[in-house]
Amino acid sequence: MKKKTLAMALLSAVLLVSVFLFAGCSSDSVENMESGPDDEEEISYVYVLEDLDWGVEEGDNDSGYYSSYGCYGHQIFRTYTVYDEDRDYVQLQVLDLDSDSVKTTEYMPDQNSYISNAAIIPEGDSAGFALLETYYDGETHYSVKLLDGNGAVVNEIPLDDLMSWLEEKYGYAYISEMVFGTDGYIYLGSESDVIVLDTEGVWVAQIGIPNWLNSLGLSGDGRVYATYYDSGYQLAFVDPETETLQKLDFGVTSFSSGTVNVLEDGSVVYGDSSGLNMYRYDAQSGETEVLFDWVSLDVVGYNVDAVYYLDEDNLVVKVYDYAANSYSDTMARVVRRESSEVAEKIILTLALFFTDSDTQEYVVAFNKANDQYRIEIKTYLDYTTIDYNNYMTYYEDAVTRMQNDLVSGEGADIIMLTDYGVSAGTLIGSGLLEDLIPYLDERGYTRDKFVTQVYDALMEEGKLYSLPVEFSLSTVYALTDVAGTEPGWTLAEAAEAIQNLPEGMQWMQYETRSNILNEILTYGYDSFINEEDNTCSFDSEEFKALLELAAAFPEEYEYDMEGASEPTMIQNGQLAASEAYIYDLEEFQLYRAIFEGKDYIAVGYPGLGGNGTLISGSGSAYAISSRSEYKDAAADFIVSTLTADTTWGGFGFSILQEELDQYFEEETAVEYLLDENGEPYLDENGAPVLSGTGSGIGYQDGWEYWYEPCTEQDIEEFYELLNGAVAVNAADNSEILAIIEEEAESFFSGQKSVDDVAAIIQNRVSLYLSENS
Amino acid sequence: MRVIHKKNTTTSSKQKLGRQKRKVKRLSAAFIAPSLLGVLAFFFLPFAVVIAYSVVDNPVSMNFVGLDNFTRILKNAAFLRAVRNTLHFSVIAVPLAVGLSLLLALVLQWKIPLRSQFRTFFLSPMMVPVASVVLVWQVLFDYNGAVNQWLAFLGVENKVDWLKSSQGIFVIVILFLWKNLGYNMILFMAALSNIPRDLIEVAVLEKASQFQIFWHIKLRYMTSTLLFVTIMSLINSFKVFREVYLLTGDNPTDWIYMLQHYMNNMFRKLNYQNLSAAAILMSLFMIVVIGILFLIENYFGKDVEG
Repeated sequence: MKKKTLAMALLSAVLLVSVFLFAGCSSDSVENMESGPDDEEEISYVYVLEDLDWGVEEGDNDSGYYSSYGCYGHQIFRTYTVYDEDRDYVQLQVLDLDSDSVKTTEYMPDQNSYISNAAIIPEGDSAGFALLETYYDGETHYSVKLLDGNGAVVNEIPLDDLMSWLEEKYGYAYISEMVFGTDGYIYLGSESDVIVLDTEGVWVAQIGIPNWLNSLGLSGDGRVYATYYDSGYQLAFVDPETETLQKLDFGVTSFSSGTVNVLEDGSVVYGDSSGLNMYRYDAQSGETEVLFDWVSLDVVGYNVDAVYYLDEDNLVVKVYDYAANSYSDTMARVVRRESSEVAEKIILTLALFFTDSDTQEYVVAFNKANDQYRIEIKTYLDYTTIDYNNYMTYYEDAVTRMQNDLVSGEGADIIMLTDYGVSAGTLIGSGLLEDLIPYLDERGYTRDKFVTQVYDALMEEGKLYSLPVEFSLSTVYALTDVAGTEPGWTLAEAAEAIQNLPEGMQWMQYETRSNILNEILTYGYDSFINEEDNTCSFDSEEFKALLELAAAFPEEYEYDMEGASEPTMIQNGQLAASEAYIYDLEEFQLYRAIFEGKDYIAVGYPGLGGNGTLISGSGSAYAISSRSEYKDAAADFIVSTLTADTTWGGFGFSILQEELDQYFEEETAVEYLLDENGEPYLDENGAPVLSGTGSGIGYQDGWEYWYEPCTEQDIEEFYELLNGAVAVNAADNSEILAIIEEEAESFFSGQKSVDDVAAIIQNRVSLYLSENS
Repeated sequence: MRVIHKKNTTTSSKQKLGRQKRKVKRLSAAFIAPSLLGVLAFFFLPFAVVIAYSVVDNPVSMNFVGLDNFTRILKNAAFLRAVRNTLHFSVIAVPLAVGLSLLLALVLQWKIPLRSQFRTFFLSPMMVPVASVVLVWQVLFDYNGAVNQWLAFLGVENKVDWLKSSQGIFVIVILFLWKNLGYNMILFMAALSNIPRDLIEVAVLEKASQFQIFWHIKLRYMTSTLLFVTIMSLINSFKVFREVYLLTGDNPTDWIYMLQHYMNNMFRKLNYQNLSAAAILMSLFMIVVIGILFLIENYFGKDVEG
């Protein structure tokens, strides 16, 4: 009986362990356990954004400007410089979050002075201020003024000696950071130094910073810390006694300096440099957790300028003034709430390699406008912990993880495609991308609504798998004497032209062997590939001739800051061509100016096909995962991006024809230079003088061009390039180009003969092609 | 009455025995269940997934295509090249790995000076991470590496492109041997020490030559170890991709393009169907070869087992 009981007990134990082991293999089980009946008391939390009530009317750009912000304990302060007819003055506003009271102190700077930096003096309720004041009387002077709680100046510390010292050391002088420490010292940061003064202005310490200083802050235990760049982003306490930095290692190589907070126990709260997440590193356990992601708060993380951690339930965020964000140029409170208090939405995942600001803005705009769905961003390349010494391993691992997630169906509803990372060709070949055409048609975005040349160029076998929001054109402008009079050329034609350049003329500026090979082969390497039977001819005499042509160029170029610019060299007959990236209409007049008096043509990239001009998606391009359960919601998102305004957008042409037409109309609108009576100025012929755009471009040798309003000629040139332009997915070409580049190097360096190198390239590319056949 | 009593006693003891047997069976099944579950979850299930992928058109739509993937890869030049190279490599490397390690084990059995140092020396490659080993190999066999410099010193004018020519296979064989000899050698030494001493002493008394002792006694007693070492070397030879990949990357020249290159590249391209078909063909081949090796062991080693 005893044996039986023992055996049964043993058996039960083994089975129990097995069950737990297998249960532990499932990710769902963790969630189930969290919400299981045994853990009913465990509450999950989320962070939400709330307005801060300053108790005063928010100032606008017409009445003044906010400049300095800060926080001490639960007190937040900011400075608002008020424009005044007599003399501008400064409001020092302090909001006490515990009592919800606001105290505003007014301060009148000296004549011709302005406040460039401000810090709160941490002395409890009667907090004073330290102001860095700059004034000009023929020379620039700096001083720190210490104010009591009522705004009265209690001491003024002139910084002329310090500024002379900085001027002597760096050739210029400025102070970017100021913190008033709990030790009563003033910490001033400039370039690669932290200078510590006492309240009488006595120099206490100077602490050198490796490379450059990013920010200074006050930790929870009252010590001053610095963030700086030195082989990755670093965080260290500033010790005025030993005049050293005491590095704080929390396993992160990249963070956003303004978001760093060092807590009393040495824990660190910080945001990543891509503006996606806020993290909390716990000094006791050494663990790092994600506090929240900005998108879930409907905040564009890229626009977050500063974060102040008050306690685990409260943070304050300062966001830049960008149109896409409703919490513009102001501070808001981030408060922890129970999840049950927040309305639930269906989550869609947007998978991408590395987030950009446009994508964050699109997602935030979509989330704000949508009651049913919310998009979360999932990145695969985390720059906060990246090891730059093993970047390729890290990169390839990210590609593999993303691909696996996409195949398993766990990864994404929406995928952002780029020229790097996961290849679009691979995803299409695996059936992972949905054809967008039916979804676009259903939402009224039929082919005719788009710039049809781009729409058609992006299609693959009658399907459209991804849609960029904007596009740009790139081409090669060259003298017709060299490149002929017809757009588009073959590799052989390009090689011949480059080989037979007139005496004293270069092909392009800053050419090297690898550059020239890239320029010729990037879009033309497939001239050596027979797609029908997947064979190649990289051992042909034509390819060897290209290698020999490239080898004639220098290995490296020396950038000459004083040398002639590209336009000057073209004008002097020293350069034959220029590579052009065209993302706005003004580029056409610029190239007309660069080639003024010369016959030139957009000959394009050798071997690209069409007219040699390349269409590229400018910015983000989105696709729908065929494994998504919410394809319609994903399509709604993609459509929403087409008409969205973004802060940094505009580096390309809209792919919607109507928007493009409207852009052309705005660009070509005729405006005249008006006199004080509102009448146009007349030139010597009596014709009204056109108003310039006020923008221009200048080069190191003095060559400059001021843009004029665009004309119909620019639009004609645009369509001339667009008609016949070709789209190529760069990520799909990378492996063959990498083989060529790797092997060509041993020929360029003289280690191997051109025959040997061509034979190895042929061998490796043949194998690569046969793998895919 | 007695008879009946006797009969009852027999029936009762038989029933008791039957119950005990059933109990033992149930208990055995219960004890083996966790392991069985583990094997099912971590071996059979993934293999079933691989089989499933091998008969569909792609991992997303999962349309059944029968044996199309198998016929396609059997016509694919890269796959066939990989098979040829892998077999070529195994045919050269496995016999060398087995033979040389056996030879080393026999030599180190003798009372030669620095015996234990030699043993440590041959085992040391096992302790070095592959990535470090490969770095050393790159320094040695690079176009401008040490080996070419030594050859130049010896008067060989033309440099050998070790890693990008037909010589590449020899570099990989040397690397494989360097990495695996020590492990095989230890297994053989253990097997040699388990051979009954009296048999060898009798053979010596009978004036048997060293070769006869080796051939008729030692080798016969080492048959199962020989089989194990051969199987492990064969499996390791199929896994040499790791070293080749670190030496030459995803797309090497076709002289050292192995089956694992093909499979790795298919994985990167999300071509799980071709990858799975190739993996199944490779498994079938291994099963057949290992089966043959077992038959050989049965034939030669049966009389010395037990």
